[in-house]
Amino acid sequence: MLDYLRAESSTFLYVLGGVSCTLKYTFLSFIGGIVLGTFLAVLKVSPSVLARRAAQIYTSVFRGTPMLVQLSMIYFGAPSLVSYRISPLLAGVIAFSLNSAAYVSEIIRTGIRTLDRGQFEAAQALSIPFLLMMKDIIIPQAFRNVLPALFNELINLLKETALISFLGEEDIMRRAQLVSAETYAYFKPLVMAAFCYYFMILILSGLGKKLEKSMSYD
Amino acid sequence: MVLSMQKIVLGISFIFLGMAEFYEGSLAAVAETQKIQLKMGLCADYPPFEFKKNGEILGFDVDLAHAIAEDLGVQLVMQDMDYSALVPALQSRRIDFVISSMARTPERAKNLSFSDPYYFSELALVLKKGTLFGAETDFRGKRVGVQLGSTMEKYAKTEASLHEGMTVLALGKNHLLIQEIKSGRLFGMVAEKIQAQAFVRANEDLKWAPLSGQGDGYAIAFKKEVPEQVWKSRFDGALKRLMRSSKMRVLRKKWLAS
Repeated sequence: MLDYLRAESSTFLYVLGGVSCTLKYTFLSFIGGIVLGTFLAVLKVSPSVLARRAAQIYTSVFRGTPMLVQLSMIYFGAPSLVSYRISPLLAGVIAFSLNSAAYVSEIIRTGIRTLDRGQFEAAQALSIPFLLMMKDIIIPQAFRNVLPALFNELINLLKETALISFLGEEDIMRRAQLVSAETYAYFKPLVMAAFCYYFMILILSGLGKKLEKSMSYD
Repeated sequence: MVLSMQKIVLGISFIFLGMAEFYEGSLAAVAETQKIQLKMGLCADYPPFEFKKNGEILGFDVDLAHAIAEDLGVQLVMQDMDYSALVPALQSRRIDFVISSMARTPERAKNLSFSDPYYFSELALVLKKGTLFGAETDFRGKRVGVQLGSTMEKYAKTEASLHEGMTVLALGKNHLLIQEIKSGRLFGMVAEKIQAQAFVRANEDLKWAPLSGQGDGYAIAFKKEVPEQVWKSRFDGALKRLMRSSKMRVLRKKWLAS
């Protein structure tokens, strides 16, 4: 019994070791997604037709194609296009950021749309330029409104990073697969992986709730 | 305000973490310039040929690769990835060759070039205990599973054309097929004999039966271009020397003796 527990705990620790890899991909990509997504959202509400159309096309392309295809295009396609051997980390973060930005831009656009028209009109009356108005007045308020949706996106992203196991990065999912191959057992490592993901997402949701509270109006 | 500062610091530290990783990678490449470095691709989920134990890649193919590298005086870097990522990685020159129990099939040989085979797999059928199976004629009317794109798939398809009502299910991983057998949706799975035995050892409700067919030989895969062809002929030479000496026999005994 003791031996059994020792063996199980060592495989669990091995799978758990993938957490750092998963978190690294998640947070780097989330930062990239937020930055690019905010930029796209501003384009989507900008007065220029061209900018709006470009942002719309971007969203439709990145939401409309499978993540695995995007990742493969960047990882396998880039070396033959620009003769630079892109690392799995860089390829993964770029692919996840680009994909996440498509969703984040829609979330933030919704946040902007829910703001009172008076905010825009007041800014215009004070003749504040469009970009400054966005940066100082609109975006901060929009962010606060869509915080729950953004955390949703973060959680989604966390689970989606499992795709990186395709390139051999040892995240939680890949480690679970390796254990299952080595031990010829299928379900146990998967349950361990599920536990790791669930626990991380519990923590993230808790943080999200806290942040939401500290940023609410009352 | 304090909170947002913290977030910014957190974000920046993550970015630096990423940069440190790139930097380490480039340093490692610079450190070994005296020896030619070859990148080997493999999918370490196929014991006893290649698998990971405590984070270390082990197995017959791994030892074979080291023996060849020693013979040729080159330095090896192993890159573990999904099996279906191996061929695109080879085509885009992210890796120089593949040793990952990859069988030389005529379809693959159209796009890749292969060394001489170094191992011929024996086939076996994994099935539930209590199921009757005497010989290949018992495949009639049965649903049999194989790993997608494997040499067993080819075998099973040929068998299916001989036995009436036999259908083949090809999935990405053997583990998925094992679950299908356990749940009764599948009659059995055609696999490598060594793999079949290992699955039976790990699952009490399964048994295995030998099949008469032989798989295509495992071989080392290269990109079909001139620089890679030079390496291919060097690898063939090294393989011949290993077969002639006792090294190959020692490796077989170490990993593949049942």
